[in-house]
Amino acid sequence: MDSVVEDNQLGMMKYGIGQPVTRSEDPKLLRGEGNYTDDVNLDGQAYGVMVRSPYAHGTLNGIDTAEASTAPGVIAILTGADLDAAGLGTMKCGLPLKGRDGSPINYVPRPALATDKVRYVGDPVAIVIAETATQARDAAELVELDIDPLPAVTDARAAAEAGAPQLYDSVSGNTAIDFQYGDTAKVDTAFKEASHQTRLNIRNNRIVVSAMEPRSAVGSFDAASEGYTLNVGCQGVFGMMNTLAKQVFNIEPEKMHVVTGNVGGSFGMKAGAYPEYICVLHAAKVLGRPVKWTDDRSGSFLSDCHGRDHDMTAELALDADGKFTALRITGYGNVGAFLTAVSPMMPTMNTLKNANSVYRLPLIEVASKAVFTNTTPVTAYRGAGRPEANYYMERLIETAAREMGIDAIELRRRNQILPSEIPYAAANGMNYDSGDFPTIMQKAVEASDWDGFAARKAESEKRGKLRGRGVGCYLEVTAPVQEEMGGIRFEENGDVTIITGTLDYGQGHWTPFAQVLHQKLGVPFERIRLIQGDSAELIAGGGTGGSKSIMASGAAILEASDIVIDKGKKIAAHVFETAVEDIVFEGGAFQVAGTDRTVTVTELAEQLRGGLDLPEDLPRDLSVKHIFDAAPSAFPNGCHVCELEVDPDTGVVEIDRYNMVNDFGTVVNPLLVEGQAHGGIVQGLGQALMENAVYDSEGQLQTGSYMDYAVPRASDVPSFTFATHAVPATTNPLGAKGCGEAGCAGSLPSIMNALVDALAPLGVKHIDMPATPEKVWAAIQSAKAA
Amino acid sequence: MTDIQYVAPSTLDEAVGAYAAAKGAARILAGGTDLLVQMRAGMVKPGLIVDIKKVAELSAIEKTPEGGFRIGAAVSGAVLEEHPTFGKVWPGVLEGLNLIGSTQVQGRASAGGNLCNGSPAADSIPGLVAAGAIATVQGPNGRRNIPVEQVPTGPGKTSLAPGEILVSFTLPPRPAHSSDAYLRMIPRTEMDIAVVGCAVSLTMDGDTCTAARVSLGAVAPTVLLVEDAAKALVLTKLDDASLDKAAAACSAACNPIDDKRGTIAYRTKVAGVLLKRTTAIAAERAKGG
Repeated sequence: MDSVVEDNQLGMMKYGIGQPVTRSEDPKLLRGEGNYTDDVNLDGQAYGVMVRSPYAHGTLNGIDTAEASTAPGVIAILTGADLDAAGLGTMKCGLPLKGRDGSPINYVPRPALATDKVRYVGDPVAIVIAETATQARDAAELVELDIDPLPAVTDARAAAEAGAPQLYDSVSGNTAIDFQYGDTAKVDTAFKEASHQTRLNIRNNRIVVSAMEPRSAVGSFDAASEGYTLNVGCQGVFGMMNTLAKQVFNIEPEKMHVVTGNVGGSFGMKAGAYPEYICVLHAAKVLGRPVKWTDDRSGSFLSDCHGRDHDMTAELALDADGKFTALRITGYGNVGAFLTAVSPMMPTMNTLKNANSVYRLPLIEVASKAVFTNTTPVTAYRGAGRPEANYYMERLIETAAREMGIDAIELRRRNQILPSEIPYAAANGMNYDSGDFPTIMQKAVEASDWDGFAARKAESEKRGKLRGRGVGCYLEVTAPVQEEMGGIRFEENGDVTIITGTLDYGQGHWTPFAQVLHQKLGVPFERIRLIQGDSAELIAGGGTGGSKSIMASGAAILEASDIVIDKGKKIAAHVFETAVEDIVFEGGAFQVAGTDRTVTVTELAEQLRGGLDLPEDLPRDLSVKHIFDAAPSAFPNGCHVCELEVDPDTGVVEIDRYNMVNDFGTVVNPLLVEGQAHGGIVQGLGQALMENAVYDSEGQLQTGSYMDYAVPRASDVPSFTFATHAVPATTNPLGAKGCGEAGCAGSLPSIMNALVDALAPLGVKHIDMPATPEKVWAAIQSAKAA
Repeated sequence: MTDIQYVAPSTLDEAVGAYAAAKGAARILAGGTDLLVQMRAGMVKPGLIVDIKKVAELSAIEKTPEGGFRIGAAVSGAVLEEHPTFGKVWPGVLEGLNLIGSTQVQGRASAGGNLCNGSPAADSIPGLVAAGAIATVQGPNGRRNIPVEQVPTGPGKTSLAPGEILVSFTLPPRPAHSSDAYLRMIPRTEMDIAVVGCAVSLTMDGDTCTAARVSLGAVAPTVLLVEDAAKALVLTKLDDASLDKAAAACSAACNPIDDKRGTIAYRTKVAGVLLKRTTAIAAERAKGG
């Protein structure tokens, strides 16, 4: 493999790979000069507001728009019937996932607006378009919905039971897919023969995503070209363009121009198409003027896809030495009322792919159902099955260690895959290419001052506090890289533009991508620009998700750079009146080998702009539009150690110390990578200790605002100690492994293991997330009573 | 929201006149941190807003002739924080008020508004109750003084008569070695609403507590004055047995609800826990002062 990292004196260049360069976009964002979707205002735009179902489940008999349509400023009201009449298609889930009997996903089409039934509180039924947003909001309240309420079901396990309310006539038992992987008979035998079995019922609580920027969309239509334009925050414009063009509008993709500016967080939630986008696009065409829709926060709670919500039984079989002999995870994943493009994956395939983690495991079985309920649709949320699966495994290990009287670190050591066993073909079908799991755990143990714990615990006890320590080892399977564009354009003004189809929704792609290009081609860092959010610029694009952007775009930029170099060598050979074979590229310059005759990439681009007299068979510029083919999944891994204190009188949990050692392979920008780890841990902390979306028996979302739904604040979070032990991936040109989701995967188990460790002397064996003070206090009370 | 009248009188008589004349259609505006939110949510639709911030007496902080403090009902937490001596004498009252909301909210929100909003979980009220603060109200029939604990009568309800406006709080003079404290429990399953709030005001003579008042918030339909808890502390050295007794009195005084923020069992228990911790802080401060 051609390693740009080694070739170019790792870390020696100010803006090279490995340098903690601050984010190029931040000065603009911090000054409020960002360009988020709601900042987009087009001439003559009207404003749309959605009318949503107030019922979780019901038959939609009619929609009376008479009064609303005469309200001040109202221009139009569109319903599902209008979209049907226009011939618009539905949003689809096209995953190739198969059920245990080989059947495909029980696929149900999702129209943008409900026509026959409503299936969750917030299900869009109509869009009201008016001259101002306030007028549209007022008029939306005048739309009368004739709905006969039906019994609702919000819990996945209950929805899969006989006699549960059925969301779809075509889906029996509300089951989108009944997934099974593994040899059931062998796994059964392993459990029968096991010297010890550990079993836990684990709730993976439902999460409201809480992106800082609510969703927003501006649709417009150009009658002359019959082209739509959608300004929207998403995770990849190329995919959004194709989804809308092919599934819904039945047009050529180039007629669907998707533009994304700055995005204020997504975490998976903004990845897919949503009903509102279809409504504003269609309305723009019907009305002949742009239509804008921006959600408010109350709307976000209902209309943004939620995350997690799994209900699993996790079981681990061990032999007398504590060696793992089989892992079994069975249960339910709640997908809400509709499938997104990816939602059946999390409780099924993604749980399977990640549960194996860093351990030697002969047998694995995952048998789970993805189940429809009368709730907001659930989709990928930071990790999308990765944190969930690692959480199950690490809770099992910690519990097994306690039950068997084996030190939890020792138990992990006995089962961790050794570097000498890598490449390792895991029982779940994954092939680990690299990693040093025991060393990473050992480094994390040392960094956490393991031996000082006893003294700290004694000191806590003096203050009436219970101290606990928990370990969370993790290994994640990142999304494989599909086709990704590596575009490099030498601009007239001397800038060099990277064009690639991942999308920055807050991570800060511009800087690390520019570092890769700068190191490879030597073009000045400060002259490098980045285009991701314009579908008209892209010839391919896999979007961002599954922690793959640095692998996808990084590799695409490297390969595109090689083409730039090839083109440049030909031109330089002509300029220097020598043979192409005599030109070498080194340190950002083309050189006639063995001479001092050199020309940098920048100089050559400048000469080309000035007009070089070139023979016809030579390229006219250095610009490249390249498509990077594919790279398999990478396996970022690490070990987190959390120490916390519990106040037994109030149940309040305070994180005191947090150490982590991670293997993200080659790290392009350690500053941003550490920031990603921090953010992931804090989101994990939120799920572990605070966040929980709760529905009542009628399907009303009880936690419908931040009055009732807590996200962590800075004061809830300790300082983190971050370290890297990198073993570069062998499967992509950069050697990167991806870091975006790892924080969640490490923090859920380390925090919850620490909490149970603190409460174990009282007899507490397990506590479900979120461990709110009340729940912790109640667990202490019932343990005392027992 | 198109038919709202707004007046900002400069005298109390004008304010009372306008407020009384509107016969219940008017709302008082101090900082607006409750009222404007309620209006935006469509919970209240006042025909008239009477802004009281231009009335000098309602925005003043004064020393009384007896050596106490008189705080105008519209004085914001941020303004009270900047007073050179108030926070030294009544740190618990001040910390209760300035637990409310964010920095921006504290620049607007007043203890008077917090009291009149009538929330059982109002953070600034237990401190005032423990302090023995007297509320002065003025209405069409003149002026009267009532203990703060007699103002709230239930969630969202007060004993103020139609047309009456809360004018000020009067806090008594402090003997030497007196102080107070406020703690609240917010379980962080939500933003900032206490499931239990506890204020303790103490006077110490050496290690002996010679006077005490205890108040609890969020555990009953109104903020409570818990006299049994105070009795358990007075003339003790705040030893464990006395604290246990006072904590038990606090738990016994609770009449909370089960809701998504906390169960009855939890609120009742934590009320006692907070009593002990608040007492310890107040005693430490009193000995130091």
